[in-house]
Amino acid sequence: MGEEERGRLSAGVSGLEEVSNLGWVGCLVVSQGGGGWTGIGGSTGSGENGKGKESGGQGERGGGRADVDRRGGLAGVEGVDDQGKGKDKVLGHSGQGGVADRGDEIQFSASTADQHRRPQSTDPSPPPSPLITTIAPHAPAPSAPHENLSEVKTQLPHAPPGEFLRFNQTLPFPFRRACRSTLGTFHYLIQKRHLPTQLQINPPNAQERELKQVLLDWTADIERQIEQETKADKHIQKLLLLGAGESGKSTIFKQARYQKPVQDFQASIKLLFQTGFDEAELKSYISVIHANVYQTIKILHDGARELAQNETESSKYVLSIENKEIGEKLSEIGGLMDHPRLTKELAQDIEILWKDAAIQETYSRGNELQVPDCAPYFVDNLHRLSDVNYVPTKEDVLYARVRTTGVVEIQFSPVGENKKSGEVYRLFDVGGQRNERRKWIHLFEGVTAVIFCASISEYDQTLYEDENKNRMMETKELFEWVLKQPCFEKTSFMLFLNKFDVFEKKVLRVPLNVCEWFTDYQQLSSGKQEIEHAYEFVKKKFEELYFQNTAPDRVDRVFKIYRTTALDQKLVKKTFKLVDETLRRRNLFEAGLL
Amino acid sequence: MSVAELKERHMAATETVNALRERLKQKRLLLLDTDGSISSSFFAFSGFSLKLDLSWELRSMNLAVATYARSQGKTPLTFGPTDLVCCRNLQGHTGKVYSLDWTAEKNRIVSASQDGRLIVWNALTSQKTHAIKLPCAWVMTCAFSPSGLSVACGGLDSVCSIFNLNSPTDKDGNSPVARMLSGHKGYVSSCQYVPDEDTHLITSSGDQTCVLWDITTGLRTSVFGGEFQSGHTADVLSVSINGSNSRMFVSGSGDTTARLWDTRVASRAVRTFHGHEGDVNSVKFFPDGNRFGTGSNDGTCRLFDIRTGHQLQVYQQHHGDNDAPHVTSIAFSISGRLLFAGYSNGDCYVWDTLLAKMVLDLGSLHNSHGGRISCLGLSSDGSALCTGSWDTTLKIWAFGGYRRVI
Repeated sequence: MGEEERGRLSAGVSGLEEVSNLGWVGCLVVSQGGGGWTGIGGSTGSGENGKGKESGGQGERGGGRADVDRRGGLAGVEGVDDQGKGKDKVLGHSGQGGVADRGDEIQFSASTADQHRRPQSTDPSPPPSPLITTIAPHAPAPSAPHENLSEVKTQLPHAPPGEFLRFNQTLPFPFRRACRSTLGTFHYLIQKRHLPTQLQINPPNAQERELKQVLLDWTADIERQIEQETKADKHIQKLLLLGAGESGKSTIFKQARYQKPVQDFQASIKLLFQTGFDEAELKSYISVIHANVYQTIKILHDGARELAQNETESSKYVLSIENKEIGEKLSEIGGLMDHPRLTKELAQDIEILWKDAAIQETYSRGNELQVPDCAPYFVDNLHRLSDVNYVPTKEDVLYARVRTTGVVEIQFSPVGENKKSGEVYRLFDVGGQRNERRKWIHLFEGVTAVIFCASISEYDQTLYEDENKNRMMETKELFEWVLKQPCFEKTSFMLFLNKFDVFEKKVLRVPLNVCEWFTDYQQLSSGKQEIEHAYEFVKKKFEELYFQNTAPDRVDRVFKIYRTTALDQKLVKKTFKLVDETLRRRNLFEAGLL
Repeated sequence: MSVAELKERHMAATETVNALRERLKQKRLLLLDTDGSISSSFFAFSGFSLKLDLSWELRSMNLAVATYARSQGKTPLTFGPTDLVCCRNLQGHTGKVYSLDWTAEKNRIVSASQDGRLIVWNALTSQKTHAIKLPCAWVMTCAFSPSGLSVACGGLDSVCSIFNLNSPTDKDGNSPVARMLSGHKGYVSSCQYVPDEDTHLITSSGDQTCVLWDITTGLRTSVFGGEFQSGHTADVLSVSINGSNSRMFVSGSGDTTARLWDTRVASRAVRTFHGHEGDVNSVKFFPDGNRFGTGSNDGTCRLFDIRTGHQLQVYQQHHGDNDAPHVTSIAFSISGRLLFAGYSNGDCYVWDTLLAKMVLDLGSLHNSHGGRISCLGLSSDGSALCTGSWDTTLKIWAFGGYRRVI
């Protein structure tokens, strides 16, 4: 191996720290040559993707720098397809006449970097940085960026092989992640003292290759992980739930929760935890689980108090006198940011409070109070949870989700997890956001379907915020706006005409014409027929609205209307099954099978 | 007092406020004069590094900096197509890129995308060093801490999550969340660490407030705006902290104004800057800290002076005016001579700030983005610009050839 090549090797492999000091131009040189070595697919062929992409990138780079090449004598325009050849070409070029030019370029960029750290200085020629000499074949390598490594070197040989984590943390940042998969390599290198304190000009070849391999593996690791996660996510269909306030949106959401949520533990565990947690990670959930317990009991206690104030049969919700104090104490704890650890005494208190009749009554109305579904599960297991040596089980971890406030999501499977073909849906309720929809609606581009909830019983009601605005008109405007969004061009729309039970009773008393949108309604008959007629009229109005706001080229997106009464669990279940069918049919259609 | 009466009074009060605002605007216009009576000694040039330094006494500020500069004989920069080249194409995101940030040194980038992932790249070698899958996929912003050891991100979940890049990942390769800063009632649209302080950061949110957080305790130190204070009246879309005086920061909002805040005084903004006609999507302080630029939905970028409160310059490309593309993000070059603006149609204009001329359109170069440019950032040494776009890639542009970094 020639002097030149060795020099370049040392430059290339000297690591990210050094490269960063050379600036963009310098780095281009090094990494173009270095590209052949370090990252770009590499001769090991780790990851077709990596290779393909980076080659493309290099080609572009080459193209973009054509002018510079002519001036600077750099190679790189051609010859980066085949890694070996590319390398040669670059090196060859630079070997001939490029060294001086490269030196110039690097000097240039290093000096501009300096200049910009001190904008006041008008010094035209800053002192040459010691880094320039690195590229020249004979110069010694700088030691400054490698102080890290020398520290590392003195520490590591003393670290016994078992102490993987500590080892991991003492390394400078570029190498940390790689260790997970190349622990053997590193230990070998460290113990054999192959990692240099200062980069020498003539490092042994094997060591260079090891380092190269580490960097390669590291990026390939990440790309593989991204690919895996994307694949896993692909089969989950995302649904966005939209609607004006009080459209019954939240109730639909809660219904979805009762749709056999994916609590088939084998399936979820496979889905979510491919390799399972280890003990340290399970233990990290203890605080979350305890927080859940406190929050649950606080919600129940506060809910009982609220119901006692507002409900007609308030006595049901009044706590017994003995439990009042316990209730207050637990409620206070639940409101803290930092919860104390769950002790046996507290657990006993919680159990006593739970058994109080008022709390039980409150729990039965839990769906209105946002009581988390994990409540009975955790209360049943209180003894286990409050144990000093408690280690959460996977089941516990599954229940102990950290809830997000802005957007709530629930995963469910309408057909049932027993059948293999049941699709998994993830429903997002963005009701928590009371702000400009247009600023975040485009985040949802690519969801499978938008479920729009319109409450048809509100045609005679006005908004809470604005007394002059009719709610039905508000819903109409919102629906129009959503239909027009470019991000939903290919998204299916499921319109849930909600609160049908209320509509049934109202339409016979209050004519539809009170709403401006329905002024052309003509009452035909009365009774059941009339209800059906009115409903069909409203449905037709929505259909017209849909087609008015759909550009001709979007006509093929799916649009279906469903009649629902959110509180009727069976009906909602049936509706979701229909939605599932529609979406699956659309998937097949898209796949070209229908 | 009935609701109707309250409404009437509210309307009357709004009328009064609007009338007062008009009068203020007129008065301000009166104070401006268009012939440059500013002594040139206030301008200091050094090579390509340019400083605009105007003192308090000069209330009569030239409305258009460009007119004055032209009268002084400044010529616009000429940029050829090879002067700013795309030298890296960072691919790996599977969804639209929404936000990016550079480290304060060392040339690493963190980018957030719609697929719910934060990826930390080494910009020089295009390698990914970390890929963090977020618990809530709807992320809208990300930021690097000044030490480069942690990243913050926020989005629709109304929570700003902090991840420590050095902590060991669990078996699935997921990084644990180091801290969650919750308290906002709306989405987190933008976050930025206070320069040189790893423990404080400022977030702006859709609930019309900005909040200064103390990360070690996870609590809010100050809330700017909101229910009981006078602040923005619409979603706050972006925030920028003054590089030379980290107690001042400016926020841009959907109510078409930008407001300057002092972190010690949370009750009201120091100053409000009007002028835009659409949502102010992006605000950025000028390198010297006495001015800031804004980019908005009305397709213009504007330069404001914080001491006088005047609008110094408008950067506008005249289209048919029917549908001017929105400015989604802006950045200043190291000396401030250049203003980079990313637009919603994929263009990225490089403006000469002094002369208000567009010197280069990065969107017209052959390897430019195919979709809307959602974020822009300049590296700490000013030698490279990174743009992130809805076509899921990030591109790094560097000054090529003999073009010096300005």
